[in-house]
Amino acid sequence: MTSISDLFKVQIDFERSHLLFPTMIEWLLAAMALAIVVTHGPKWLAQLRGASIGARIKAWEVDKRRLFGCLALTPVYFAAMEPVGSIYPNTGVGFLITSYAYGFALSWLFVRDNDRRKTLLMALNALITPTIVWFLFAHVFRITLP
Amino acid sequence: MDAIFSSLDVTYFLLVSLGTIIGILFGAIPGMTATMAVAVCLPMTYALDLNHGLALLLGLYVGGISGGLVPAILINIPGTPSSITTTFDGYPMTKNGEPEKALKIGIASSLFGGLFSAAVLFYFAPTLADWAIKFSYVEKFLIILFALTVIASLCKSMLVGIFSGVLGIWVSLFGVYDMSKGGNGELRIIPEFMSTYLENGFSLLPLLIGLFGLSVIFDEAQKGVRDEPADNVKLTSGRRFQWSVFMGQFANLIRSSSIGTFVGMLPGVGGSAASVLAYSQTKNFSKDPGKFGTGHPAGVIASESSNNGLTGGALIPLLSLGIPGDSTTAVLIGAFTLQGIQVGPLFIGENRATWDIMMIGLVAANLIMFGVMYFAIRHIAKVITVPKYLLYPGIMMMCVVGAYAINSGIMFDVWTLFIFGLFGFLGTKLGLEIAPFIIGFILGPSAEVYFVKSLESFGTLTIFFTKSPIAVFLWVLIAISVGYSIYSTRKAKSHERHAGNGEAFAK
Repeated sequence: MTSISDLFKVQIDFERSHLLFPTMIEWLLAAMALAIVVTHGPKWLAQLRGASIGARIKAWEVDKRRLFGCLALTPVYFAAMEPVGSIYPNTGVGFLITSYAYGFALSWLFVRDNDRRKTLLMALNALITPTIVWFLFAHVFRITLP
Repeated sequence: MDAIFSSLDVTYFLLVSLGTIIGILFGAIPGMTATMAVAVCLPMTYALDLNHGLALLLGLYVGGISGGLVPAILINIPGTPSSITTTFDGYPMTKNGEPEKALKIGIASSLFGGLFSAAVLFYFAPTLADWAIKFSYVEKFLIILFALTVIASLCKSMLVGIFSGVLGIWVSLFGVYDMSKGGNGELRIIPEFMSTYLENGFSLLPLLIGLFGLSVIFDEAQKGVRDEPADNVKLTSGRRFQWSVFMGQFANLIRSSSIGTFVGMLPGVGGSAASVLAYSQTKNFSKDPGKFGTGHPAGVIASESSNNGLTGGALIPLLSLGIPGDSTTAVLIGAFTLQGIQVGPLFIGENRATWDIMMIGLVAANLIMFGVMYFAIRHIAKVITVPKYLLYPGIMMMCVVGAYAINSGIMFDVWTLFIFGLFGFLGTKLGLEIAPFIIGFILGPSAEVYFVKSLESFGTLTIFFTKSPIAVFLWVLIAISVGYSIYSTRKAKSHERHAGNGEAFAK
């Protein structure tokens, strides 16, 4: 005969103890995801039926040029840092050079109603900001940079 | 005492001042928050010792929360989420020709709220820590569970809030089951080929910087990075500020600061909840509720004293239980970890000098914030007009430095920054709640250890209910927070339905 208290007894095998909590959490996540779909699903479906995909994207107010430009530029910046840095290792030059280019490109992407004055400001900012950051961290604080 | 005085040098106060000024500037720029200020400036603390690093971070925290009142009052855009209610009466005051008066009321109220919460922190945190030292793994696990339900209960949907928190826990479990915490050193969740990068899971700071730095920039990019035209910011003197405006407002100051401090103590609950609650309470208690929203100083006082009351309040669970009170203190936990210090019930007792130095730093940050903002508000107001296309590249570079340098030059940490920047941006669009996610991520590994070790020791699930009267009390608190959430959701739905019926009737 098993008593009710036996139902709650747990024996943990140390060899497999690393899986106990993650497995529980995964089941919990799956159950909650299902509950979210059940409770919020009808509302989402109604919204989906209500408007076309194009209209919904429009309503979301996506500035495609700036968003996708930023999302494309950033990984390129990150990916270029180490290869450029390997030319002069342990100097932080990879960070400095790529930041010059990225700084200007991001400003150029974000600016509105660009003119010569703004272009000059962006160029100066793209030169000065990375140089200050690089000098402060790589030389004054002696922090490793790519 | 010697340790305290040796750390309280000129550099210490210069760093508090620097942090406060940078924080104010971050807070004053709409779209940039106190959390972002702390996250982006973290690399500046890498070369500092703990006390000096904390000086800078506390300054950033207090400055960041306070700076939000500037755009809220001048252009009707809250600089930080916690200054949302400052717009209700602050902006009408600007329109009535009293911008400087409104700003100075806000600044003085912020000082009061900040100092009030620092006093509560000073007296309450050690008591709570002494109490929490007695907790076993069972009670510690229940405290984490309570923290998650409290955060989730204040989200738009409790279910989504808990889901976000549990997702944070899941992400925190990537990598090996840490042997130093009694684990078996085996890899889980991630595939073998990723173990080179994720053996110890995602680093906390790149994840935080990604969520609070990069995702904000992605969000701004999506909205088109619009700047405030300079001529929108007018700081005409109008009627001058006089301290007599606070006559009869003492009860408001105490009530709002208490609300801010109390809400700050609740894990993961942001300043917007504190200021909304304080504002609505002040309106309820007022003899002239009709004046609110038309430029009534009491509204600005309630909002600003409560959101600065949050600062000391949010540090209470951080320093006494190791649970961050809000997203900014979550970043502070990263700074402590960086210095090899574990925050929790033992922190105050074992680091008495650091604790005293922190308290002095917090008070100093509030006084410096007041001095800087009160006397230089005209100059600070101009920061609103600095173009974002010049600011964001620099912020992005600081994010990279912070992520890359945290583990002395690991490129994967920079990619972590990008991954979580994108996750934060897309997650919020899909309705995920970032605050519970962060708290879940920070507390996940501890929750695992407390849960598994409790079961290993006692061998039964019933121990979580029967271990001690404290465990029972914590279950009662968990039930209250869940019950409150269900009640408030139903109430909101019923309000919506009534409003809908009203509209239909009007048609």
